[in-house]
Amino acid sequence: MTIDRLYPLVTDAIMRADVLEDLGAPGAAEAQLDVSHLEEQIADLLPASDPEGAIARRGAVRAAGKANDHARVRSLADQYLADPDAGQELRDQIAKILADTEDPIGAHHPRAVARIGADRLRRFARRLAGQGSPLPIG
Amino acid sequence: MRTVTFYSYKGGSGRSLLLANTARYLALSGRRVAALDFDLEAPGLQYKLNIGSPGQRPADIVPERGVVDYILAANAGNEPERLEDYIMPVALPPGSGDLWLMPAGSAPSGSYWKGLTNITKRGMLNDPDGMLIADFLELKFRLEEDLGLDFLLIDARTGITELGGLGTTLLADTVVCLVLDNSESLAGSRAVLRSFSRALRLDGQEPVEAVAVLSRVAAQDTSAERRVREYLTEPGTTTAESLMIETLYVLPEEPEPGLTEPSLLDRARESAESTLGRSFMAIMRHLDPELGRPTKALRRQQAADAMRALLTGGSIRRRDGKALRFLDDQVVQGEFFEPSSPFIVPRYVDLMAGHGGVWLVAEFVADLPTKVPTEDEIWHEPVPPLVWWLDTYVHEVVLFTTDWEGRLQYRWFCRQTELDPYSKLRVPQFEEVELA
Repeated sequence: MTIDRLYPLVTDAIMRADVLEDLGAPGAAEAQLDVSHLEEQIADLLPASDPEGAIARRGAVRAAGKANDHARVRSLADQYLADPDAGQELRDQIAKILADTEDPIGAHHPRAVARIGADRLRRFARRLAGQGSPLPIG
Repeated sequence: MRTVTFYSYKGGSGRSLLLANTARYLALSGRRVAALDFDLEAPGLQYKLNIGSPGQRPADIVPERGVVDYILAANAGNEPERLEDYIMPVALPPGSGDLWLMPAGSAPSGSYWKGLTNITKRGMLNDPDGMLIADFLELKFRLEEDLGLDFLLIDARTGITELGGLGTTLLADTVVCLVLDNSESLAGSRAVLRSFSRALRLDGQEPVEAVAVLSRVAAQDTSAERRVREYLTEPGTTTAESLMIETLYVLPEEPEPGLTEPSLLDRARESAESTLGRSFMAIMRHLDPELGRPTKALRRQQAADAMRALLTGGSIRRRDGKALRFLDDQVVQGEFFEPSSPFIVPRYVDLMAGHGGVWLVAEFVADLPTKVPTEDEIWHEPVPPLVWWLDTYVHEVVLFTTDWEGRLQYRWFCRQTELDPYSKLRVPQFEEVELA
């Protein structure tokens, strides 16, 4: 598929995924995965040094993260970080998305993690989900 | 930092009002305090903390951002850089601690409800990674660290909700639970109070401390405290479920004509004649056992509260015999006044009243003798009162002072027309205010 054909497709896919995400609809993750695949196809056609190529690489990784497909995030990130054409700014952005995906609590909650620990927070969240309510009314 | 959550199972208990008065009392006593509006489905703590400007109706006060906007940004991985964009400082007399309000957000706008829906849809119970819980904890720790807080006061949602439950369990050290003496409130409150002993806590967190407050008790009802205490402490199905309530604080109803949102501060004294004032003081001592003697800032605020009651109650009479009366929402209490002259530094003013502009300014002057003040006495105040720097739009000035327990003591009144327009340093002719 050509770039000219891919651009309108990815634009439509992004809009659809954003709307579904805003609505909290069940198909939101799948729509993000579509975005990721389209961005990946654009990235395959453009070098990382091209501004549009850089945007596509970043978009492919970020959309995979939004789709909660951690394996795909890692695979794409490894591939793009190994590309000698990738500039430092793009590398930093991809590394940040990777860190956010692999340890979202640690990446965004420095105070909570320092005081409580990411594992203890996750354990607490699972226990709370199991209990069904913060207030265990008997 | 101590986190105190104010909760009531049913509405109409005066929960937000007690929180607002507690926040002001602690801050006026020198503490650094933040009030967080966690009643996200029906927010409005800003109305109780006198945030606004003269002539602005309280109902028109709409914060730009708050808890919902902060959590949405954080949950999307973009923790806001500037906390000050999400909080509002509350003006207090010089010598106070600090008080900030973090409102819920721009309610009642459409964007606010959309944002709140986004948060509640994500929900904590469908979040095994704990992101939303971590977002709220991170906000709490950031408020503590960035503002150097002594107290975080949380206004929680009534009933039993997921987010309200977060405010009364994980985030709280102490929960002040307001109870009304009616069947629905008693049954629901007892169930919630009993659940605290089983509420999940993080490792190392002490169990939630519950402080029960019986609210809006009719003055003539002398048996309410005993009756409610007996109901709340009835044995449960297990020993762990049975409540131990050492003290049941009682806030009696004290209707005050002319005051739609009565402040507790002007009655809050150790030796108060008012039962409501004494009960409020007992709760303050419980929450902060290290409270010292009333500060000058607190006494000033107490006197300003009493002065506000006079202004809204029509109790002050002008020399022409007409009563001076303002509606409650025409009086702004505690404000940084910005005079129109660029050469005058903005300063704190106790009370400003008017409609569409400032008509009257009431200002505290300390330690004046028991007579009409002279020019020399006023000029040698540590902070010369605003009367010297009147704007042309201010028509009337009331000066007031207080005794050592914060009771409003002397009041003087003048009109701006009596000031010398060419020399503002000439003392105006004040007269002691006559009460209607």
